[in-house]
Order: sequence, then structure tokens, then C-alpha cells
Amino acid sequence: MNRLPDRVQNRLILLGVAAVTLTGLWLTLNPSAFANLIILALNAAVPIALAATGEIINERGGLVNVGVEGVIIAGAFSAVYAAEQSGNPYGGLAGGVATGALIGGAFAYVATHGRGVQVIAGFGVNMIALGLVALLLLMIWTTPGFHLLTSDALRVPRLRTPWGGISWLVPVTLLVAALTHVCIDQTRFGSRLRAAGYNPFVTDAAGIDVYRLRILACTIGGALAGLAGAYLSLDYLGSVTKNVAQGRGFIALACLVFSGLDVFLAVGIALLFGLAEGLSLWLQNVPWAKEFVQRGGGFLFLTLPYVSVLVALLAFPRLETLSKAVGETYRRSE
Amino acid sequence: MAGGAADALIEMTGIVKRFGETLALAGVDFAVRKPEIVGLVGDNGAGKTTLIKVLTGIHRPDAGRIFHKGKAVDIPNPGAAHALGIETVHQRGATIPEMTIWENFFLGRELERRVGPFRWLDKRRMRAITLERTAELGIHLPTCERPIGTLSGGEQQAVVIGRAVHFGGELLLLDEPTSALSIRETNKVLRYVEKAKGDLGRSVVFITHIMRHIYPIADRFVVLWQGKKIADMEKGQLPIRELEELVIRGQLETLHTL
Repeated sequence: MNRLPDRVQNRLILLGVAAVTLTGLWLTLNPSAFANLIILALNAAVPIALAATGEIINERGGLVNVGVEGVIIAGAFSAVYAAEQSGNPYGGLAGGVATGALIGGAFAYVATHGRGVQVIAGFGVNMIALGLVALLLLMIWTTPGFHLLTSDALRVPRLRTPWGGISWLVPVTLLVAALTHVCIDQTRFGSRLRAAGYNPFVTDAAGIDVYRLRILACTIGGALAGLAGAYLSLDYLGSVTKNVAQGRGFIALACLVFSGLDVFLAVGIALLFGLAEGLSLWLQNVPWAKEFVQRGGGFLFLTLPYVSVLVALLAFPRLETLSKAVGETYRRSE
Repeated sequence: MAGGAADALIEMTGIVKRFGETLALAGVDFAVRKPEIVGLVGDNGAGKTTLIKVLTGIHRPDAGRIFHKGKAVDIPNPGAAHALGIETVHQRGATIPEMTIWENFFLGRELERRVGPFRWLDKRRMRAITLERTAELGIHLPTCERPIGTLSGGEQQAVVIGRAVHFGGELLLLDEPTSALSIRETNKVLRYVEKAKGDLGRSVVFITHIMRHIYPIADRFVVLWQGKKIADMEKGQLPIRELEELVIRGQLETLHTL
């Protein structure tokens, strides 16, 4: 019942890990290499942080969408399609967001009115997205499994710094996270959302439409995952592949495990995973590892984000603040 | 017997509810006047909770009509029951233990204040009202920022009853509010119920299968037996021993009282 100390404890662990890692890097690297690494990390953290924030909104309301990975892939694909149709990267971002919202809403409809089992529906989203995107890539652009943006003008412009380009979605992501936190804590919507997640029966009996609330939350969560996908294809990579998310949706789910659905914790952990990814990219180009990378060690470096997730799952205590009702189908008349 | 439609706050007639093959309510008539405390009693599975859930919009009845102050009404969902001034304390839990006392008090009816274009929760006012209302029922909480799950069962019931009173509920439905409580806590809850009727003029339907809890405070008893109403009597006509016999056997050996 007393969850504050747990949360504080995890925040302290997170800060400690971040402080040790960053100090270590600061001491071993020259300042400009350090700045470059931080920018890589921030750019890499955006999709994970966005998807994790979205999933927090879902789960606060009681629905667990394990299909985030699929939503990201679908968002990435439709963002590219929309960008090429509209001839403008922002049209593409909007397309990704809309697709994510649509899938999130459809998932929520199945999980509420349709009374579907959420885990199965979520896996359904993943499978449909994987299959459909691979098929559509082939149908629309006749390339198997990938498509490069036809023009650099369709790519979201980056803010230039002496140490590399930083995406303007980095501040947007942090702002979205902060807004989500405030919204959950300080508004009527947030208060009712939490109630629906903790105990849908009591919430319903209080005259609140639990299904409507859950569908709305999942639509917002899906929109954020869609934005994460659009960012990947139109900003981070400049291309879309049939497996463009590369497990980032699952990493976002991992962020939630020890966050106790606290936005700051989840985004903080997402930033650490982003740092691991930034590090894995940065290591590809350092002089002292050149020979190792040429002999195939680069692939080993690329596993760094995933290894860091496993280590984090071991290192962080899991927060048991999720109610038993989260992930369960709610029916009024039972 | 039950009062006519004219002076009844709520009147239910011929309520039927089936769950698959099971007939949970076989045409039950039930009325509540104002103000009174009705003991809705019966053994487990008699249909007490089902009847209350029909009245609060959780179950739709298969047949039967509901009148509110003599007017036919439809109660399709819990929100509609709220709008009629029906406040319920459900057996399955009326509170969310993880949320604070004031959040539970105002769940679904949160107060807001405008700051520019935004509307934020007015936490200060909600906290103040929560403390005030629970104090009226004789519970003096030092703070209402704690999760409600940290309160005792009786204190939680007090918050919920205080909530029902605050939001102008004319009819309080309490489903087994004392079955999980200690003797001292039970006595407290019974006192709140008496206050809600005596000081505040509310009607209360008190569901229980423990006769010694309800007998001292109720004005009238309605006994359900396997989905049927088998008795509806003022307390004066029904000694506690006969009430218990009705609940357990579904009939009286001593026929002269019926």
C-alpha cells in the first residue's frame, strides 16, 4: 500500500546509475566526444520514451497493450507513406500519429466492448503489423522488406549543433512526458483514469464510463506509439523496414516494469536505454575498436541496448503498484 | 405492507432477473419510504444483492418496473442511479484502497478550478470538504491525503456514508456494510446509519444476513427467500426470533403471526 518509498528508492537507483555512467564516460572521453554521445543517446531514447509514456496512459486506465511494437512498426510505415503522399515530413508525422491512434482505439474496443483477452489482442496487433507492413512495402514500392525515403526533403529537419544534429522531437518528448505526469496527477481525467485502472467496478459504480475512458486512454497511448514509429522512419533512420522497431516497443514495456507507472521513472529508464543505444552506435566509429568492429565485433556492440535491458531487469526492483485489475477484462454485470 | 406509490421514494414492482438457467429474482416488489431504514434480509443467495444491483443500474431486470417518487424510471447504468439520488455502498468494495481518502470521496464528482484555459483539480477544497463531512459523522481524521486503504473498515464505511450524504443522496443502499467489521466498528457504522436517517432525513436500505446488526436500527424488514419476497413487516409486528426463523427456514412454524 505504501508505494512512495519504493518509487523514491527506484528514482534514487536510477539517478545513481545515471550519475555513475555519465561520470565514467565524462572521465574517459574528451568533451566533444561526450557531447556527441549524449546527443546520440537523446535521439535514440525518443521512440522508447514516447512509447513508454503512451503505454503508461493505457495501463493507468487498466489496459495493457503488448502490441506497442506493432503500433510503432505500423506508425513508421504509414508515416513514410503519408510523407510521400503529402510531400512533407509533418504530414508524415501526422499520418503516423493517426495510424497509432486508430490501432490503439481498435485494440481498446476489442479489449472493452469486445471483451477480448488483452495479451492475445496485443499479440494480434504485433502480428498483423509485422505481416501487413512487409506485404505493403512490397505492394507499394516493390522492394522486399525496406523502403528508403525518396527525398531528403521528406526527412524531419534536425537542429544543428557542433556535435551532431539533435531532433526537435527530443524536447517534444520530454514535454509530452511532463504533461502526461501533470495530467495524471492534477486533472479530472487523470484521477478517473487511475481509478479505472485500480478498480473498474468501483469506478463504474461511481457513474464513470470505464469503457469510454479506457478507449480514450488507449487511443492517446497508441498515438504516442505511432509518433514513436513516425520518428523512427522520418527522423532517426530515414527509411522504413519491415522490422523497423527492432524491439523498441518491447523495451518500452520493460521500462514500465520497474517504473510503477511513474512517468519520470519510465522516461528516465528510457533515457538510459537510449544511452546504451547511443553507445553502441558510437563504438562503431571509435579508433581503438576499429579492428574489432571490422572483424565483426560491431554486431556485438549492437546488442548493447538489449543486454542493458536484461541487466536493468535484474538490477531494478520491480514495483508492485499495478492493481490486479490492470490487464483484466471488466464486465459490469458479474 | 409496503406503502403505496404516493409516499414511496422508490418502488419496484414485479422485478425478475435471470442469470442463464438460474432465476435470481422471481417477481419481487420492494418499496422504500422517506425517511426510513429498511432491513433487506435473507440467506446467502436469496437475491438481496441482485435486487440492489437492479436498483443501481448494474443489472438490467428481465421484467418489472421501477418508480421514483411515483414516476416510472429506467436505470440503465450506475450514472442514472446517481442522478436519481441513489447512493450505494457495494459489498464488493466501495472504495479504491490505493487512492487517497479525498480522491475516493470525490470519485466521479471531482471539483475543479480554472487556471487560465486549464481546469485543474481543486484539491484543497476537496480535502476540506472530506474532513468536514467525516467529522460530522464523528470521525476526526488528521489528514485525508493518505490512501483510504490505511483506514479501518469502519472508518472507510464512514467516509463512504459521508460521501453519500454530502452528494444529496436521498436513498442510501448499504450492501453488507458490517459483515467484515469488528463489533466496535459495526456499532459505529450502525450509529452513522441512524444519524443519516435521524439528523439528515435520508432513507437507508441496509442489506445483511446478520439480524442482530440490523434489528435495533431498522424500521421495517423485507425478507427474501430464493428470489421471492416472503415477508414485508414493520418491526413492531416481527420479533427478532421470528425474523431469524423466516430468514433461515423461509416460513414460520408459529403460524399465528402471519
